[in-house]
Amino acid sequence: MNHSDVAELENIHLRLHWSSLVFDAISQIRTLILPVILLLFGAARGENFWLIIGAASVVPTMIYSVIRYITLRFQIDNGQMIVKHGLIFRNVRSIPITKIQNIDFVQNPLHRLLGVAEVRVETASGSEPEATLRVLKLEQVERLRAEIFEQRQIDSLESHDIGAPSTTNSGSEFASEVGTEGVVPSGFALANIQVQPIAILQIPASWLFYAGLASNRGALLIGVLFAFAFEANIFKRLDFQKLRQLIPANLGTAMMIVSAIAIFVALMVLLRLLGIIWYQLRFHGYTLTRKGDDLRISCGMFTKVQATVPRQRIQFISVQSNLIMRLLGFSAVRIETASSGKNLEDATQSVSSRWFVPIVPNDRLAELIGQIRPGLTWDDNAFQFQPISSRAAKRISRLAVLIAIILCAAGLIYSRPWGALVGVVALPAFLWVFRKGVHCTKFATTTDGVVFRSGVFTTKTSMTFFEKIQSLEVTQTPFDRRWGMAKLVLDTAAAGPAEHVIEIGMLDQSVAFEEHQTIKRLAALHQPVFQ
Amino acid sequence: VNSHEIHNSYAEHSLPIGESELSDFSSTPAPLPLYELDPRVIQVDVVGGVIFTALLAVGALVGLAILWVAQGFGIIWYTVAGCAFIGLFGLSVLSLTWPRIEYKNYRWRLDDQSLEVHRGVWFKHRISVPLGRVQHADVAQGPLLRKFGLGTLVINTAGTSNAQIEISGLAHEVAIKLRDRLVQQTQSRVVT
Repeated sequence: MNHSDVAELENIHLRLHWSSLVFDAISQIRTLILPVILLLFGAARGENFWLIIGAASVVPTMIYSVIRYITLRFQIDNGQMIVKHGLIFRNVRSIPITKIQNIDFVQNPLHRLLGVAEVRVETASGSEPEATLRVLKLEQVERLRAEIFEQRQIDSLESHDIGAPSTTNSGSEFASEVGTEGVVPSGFALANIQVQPIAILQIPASWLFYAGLASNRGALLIGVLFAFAFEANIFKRLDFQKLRQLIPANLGTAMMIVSAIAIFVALMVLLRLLGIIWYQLRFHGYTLTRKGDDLRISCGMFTKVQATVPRQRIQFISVQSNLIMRLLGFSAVRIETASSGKNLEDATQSVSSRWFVPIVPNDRLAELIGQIRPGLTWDDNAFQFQPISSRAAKRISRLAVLIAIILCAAGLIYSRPWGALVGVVALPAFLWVFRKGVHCTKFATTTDGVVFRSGVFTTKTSMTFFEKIQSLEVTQTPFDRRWGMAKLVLDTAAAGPAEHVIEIGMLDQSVAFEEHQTIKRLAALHQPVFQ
Repeated sequence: VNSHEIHNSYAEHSLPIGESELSDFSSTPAPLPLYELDPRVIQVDVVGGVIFTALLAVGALVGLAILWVAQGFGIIWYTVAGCAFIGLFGLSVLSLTWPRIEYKNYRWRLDDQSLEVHRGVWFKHRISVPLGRVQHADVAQGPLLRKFGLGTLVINTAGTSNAQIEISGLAHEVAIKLRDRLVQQTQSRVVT
């Protein structure tokens, strides 16, 4: 098929690129890595049994992907994206373009070599992408993308009354506008009229350096290395006797200690270095732009990722920073969308939710978040944070003492009487961390939603919005009741990649019940516009 | 006896839901009364508990018989039998009393803002689903509930940790009415 002379995508049947077969095979091998290894080992030893098992598990999927490649056709027709495939059972899926939330693409080095990309079309339903097209030629990707976004812009312009002089104020007008059907919060409407892309944020290499420095990503990579080493039985093959001979015999105790420290420091430096490299590779050339209501991220050195997030779909904004980031004056912003799924290692999904903005200086946070959600002012001083119960520190201290006593007892079992020291030493540490934790936990109810902050070392400040709250719950354990306390939990459609949930524990019972009523009322007032 | 009363009070309000426009944030309306479940649910739960205990007792008897065939009477047999007896006795006491305690700690209310459920004996929960957040709602009836004319209202939201909320033991017609009201509320709100 030759598409180059075709201007319109409409009614043209497009098909996958031939290299689809290769990439399908690669992705299958990746998921079936264990069976494949077994198969190779077995085959090398001449055991036919494993060969048969391996073939039985690989061949059907291979056949499936060949059939899929041969039969898959997709087109955009009459406002619908239609994907057909299947030989015996014809599979036709039509997705209304207006329902398409995201069209993301991933391009790894091999993809780039062949001039193709993997495309993922997502709708609001469920956590699975509605259609994954692996892989398409780049020009097709661009055309598909252009078509879909053009259609969406037209639709959103049609659905809002452009002539109305409504769009001067943003977010704060929220409450007055709900109640009437179909009214879009004015900030969103305004955004739809400006269809020019606006650059919101570009992350220079120097920030990524800091991000890597602050992250524990390196530790994770080391963990992966260890796992590989175990798989390959490296530890069993190592000759520790020979290793020992490498250490000079006449080393004094002081020298031993010094070299141990040196090795430790070197390891730490290595960890940080790995973190820095990971960040540089993953987020190289990070740009965040906004076109209408779509936030678009593109980044990556070798594997390039482009992900789109419609901002109405953002359920949850979380600003997080660990100790090092706080020292450097940086934060990371994570968001959660309704369909951000469980499959976090998926490149586009993890970039668009887990790593939404990997690093940003604190003084640009307010501006950035104002773009993510129009009308929202992100200002620690304006939030009017409330602490949790004043008796929480006392309650948590008792818990610390209890844990220390248990540690003492456990220590005594191992060695008497010095084992008890474990608990004695641990007590102040526990007390400090627990009490600090209580001190760091606070919440605020603003005009937009609920803000919750917690964390001693890694501070997480998260916000969800009244129209995104699906249900709320106050729970009391028997212990809570003894202390006259309760926990307030807000449930949203967000799937949880930000690793922070709004569960405000150890509130005074009366405060919890009161907040429950207030938030419930506000949630009922702010009805969701987009479902 | 009580069920009649509840039905009457329900009928008086016809629907214990504010039909008015959503009230604004500043004025706090007096909360509507909380309703109890249909008291017949106590009988349902007692019957269910008794059946369960009886099945366990049969199981225990079979087990003891097998043990007797294998080993005859002895220390082991008497210990096992004693434990089984104590366990079953405790369970039957619990299945006779617990449903009433649970019932006493169960309340619900629907107002113009949300559906609210209070429940739990040791672990207390107060759950609210704001109106318009209900994705779909079903009324389910097991054989026992059907026999007693009761139903379980199952509410599904788009949430994650608390996506499904159940009220088990409403009079069937009340459950149906509630379901219709909740779904109607959602339909009138969804735009796209």
